[in-house]
Amino acid sequence: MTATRPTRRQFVTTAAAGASASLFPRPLLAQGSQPRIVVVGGGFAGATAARFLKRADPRLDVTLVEPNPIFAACPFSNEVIAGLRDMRAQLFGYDRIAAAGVAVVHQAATAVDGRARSVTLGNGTKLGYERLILAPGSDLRFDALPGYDEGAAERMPHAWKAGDQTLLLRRQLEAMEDGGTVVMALPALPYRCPPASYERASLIAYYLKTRKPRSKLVVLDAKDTFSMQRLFENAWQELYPNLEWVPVSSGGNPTSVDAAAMTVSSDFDTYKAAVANIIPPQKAGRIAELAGTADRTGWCPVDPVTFESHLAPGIHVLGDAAIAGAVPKSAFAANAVAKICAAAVAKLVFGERPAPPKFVNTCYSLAAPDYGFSIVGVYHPVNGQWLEVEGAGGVSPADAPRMFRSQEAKFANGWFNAITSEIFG
Amino acid sequence: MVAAMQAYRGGQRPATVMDRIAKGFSDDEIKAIAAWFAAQR
Ligand SMILES: Cc1cc2nc3c(=O)[nH]c(=O)nc-3n(C[C@H](O)[C@H](O)[C@H](O)COP(=O)(O)OP(=O)(O)OC[C@H]3O[C@@H](n4cnc5c(N)ncnc54)[C@H](O)[C@@H]3O)c2cc1C
Ligand code: HEM
Repeated sequence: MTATRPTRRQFVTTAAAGASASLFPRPLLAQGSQPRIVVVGGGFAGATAARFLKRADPRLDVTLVEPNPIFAACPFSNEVIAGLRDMRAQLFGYDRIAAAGVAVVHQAATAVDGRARSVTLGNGTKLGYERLILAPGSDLRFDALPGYDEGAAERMPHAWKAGDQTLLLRRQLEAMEDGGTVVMALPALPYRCPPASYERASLIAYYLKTRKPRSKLVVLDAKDTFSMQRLFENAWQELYPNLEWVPVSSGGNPTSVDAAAMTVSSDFDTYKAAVANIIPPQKAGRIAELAGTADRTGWCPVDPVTFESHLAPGIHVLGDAAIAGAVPKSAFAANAVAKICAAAVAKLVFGERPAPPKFVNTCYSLAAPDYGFSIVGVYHPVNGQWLEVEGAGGVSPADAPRMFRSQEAKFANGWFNAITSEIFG
Repeated sequence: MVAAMQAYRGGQRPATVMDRIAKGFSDDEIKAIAAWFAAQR
């Protein structure tokens, strides 16, 4: 094989062969260079992938592209909002990932050229790659709920990306006078971690009950049913007479907001809010769309073994941004699929076949600080689709004693500490 | 570890989540996981 760059004609023929993705990098490797893998996004999926690529094969030249020097984790940010946890417990740096041999570049990726196999960064630098992994998380759609744009989010926080938005919602709840109504608006599926929206409702209700006893919470929901519903509803009945959940069938579908008037409208009614938490519809992070990996739904279809995009060969998509059958949009799953993808990519760049994967997802939710429950799924690929293993998984028992709930709340904390120290520690 | 996983799967070992997790794995898979852990030491 010669070392010359392929001509345009060669590009066309390899693409036409339908296997360009795995064949193309090999000539570069034949020259003895290290395979270059670029990972975009240093969240649960991307940071895990970068670290595990290096662990899978130290010969890989791994670059992690992430604009923020500090990562703010979403799991447990609902506790920050409810005043139960310090924001500092959510923040993680990239030093240990760099120490593991990953080149960490604090820039945003602004463009991807899938043909030239190069990523452009905010400062104009171009990074070449043999394989690109995109893990940009979810983006909020500011064109979906009338009245809710980026400006409105400064008055009516979404707090669906952790950081300033989390603290803004926290401060608004703290500053609210006792007696004010808090209004939450929840979108239809799919979106980042739906159980977290009911956890948030629970913990805001907990805060109101303990600190603003004359206030109440109205939850306007674009859904009629949700995961762990029975467990949440039991907890609400037991603990939170101040929480009113309004499903679609009762007119709860959020239809518009007016940030200046602080009102939220649903199919049936308009609510005046002292504090409004609007969780808008979502889509894959913008760079996934720019790279041509997102389909009309706004999310990215991928292969279940390698997480390679169905739309753009040589580009893998992980975490919230991907749609992969039954795989949930959780930090737990983002971390698990990143390990699967890292193992697969470490094989693919050397022309080897990846092993068939299988993984577990466990999402914990807190209805109160000492009241936790969980949903488990075990996932495997069947005929090119991620499915749940039948007979496994499921939710915590509905009739368990309070002791069981406090144990799960403790294990939830343990899970967060374990996953964040695996990735960032 | 193999014994613990099998007991979780059969519901003989008290659990919050491990019973639901263990049910997703066959004997062979459990043995493979245990062998991997043993090799890490
Ligand atoms: C309130 C709340 C509570 C949650 N609780 C839980 C929970 O208890 N358990 C659980 O498992 N999950 C939970 N989740 C879900 C979890 O946070 C997400 O599923 C998870 O963060 C997805 O990981 P990711 O890597 O895809 O995205 P993220 O973790 O969001 O990471 C994406 C990263 O990509 C970076 N990025 C984006 N665009 C670019 C670009 N162009 N160039 C470079 N970098 C870019 C971003 O800066 C970010 O750091 C919760 C979510 C919320 C909102
Ligand atoms: C296939 C993967 C896994 C294996 C092989 C495994 C193995 C085990 C074993 C052997 C024990 C018993 C420990 C002891 O008694 O000393 C245990 C307990 C436990 N594990 Fe796992 N584990 C797995 C995945 C998970 C996951 C994904 C979670 C969730 C976050 C989890 C949470 C727990 C908890 C909470 C316990 C205590 C028992 C309970 O309450 O269910 N494990 N696990």
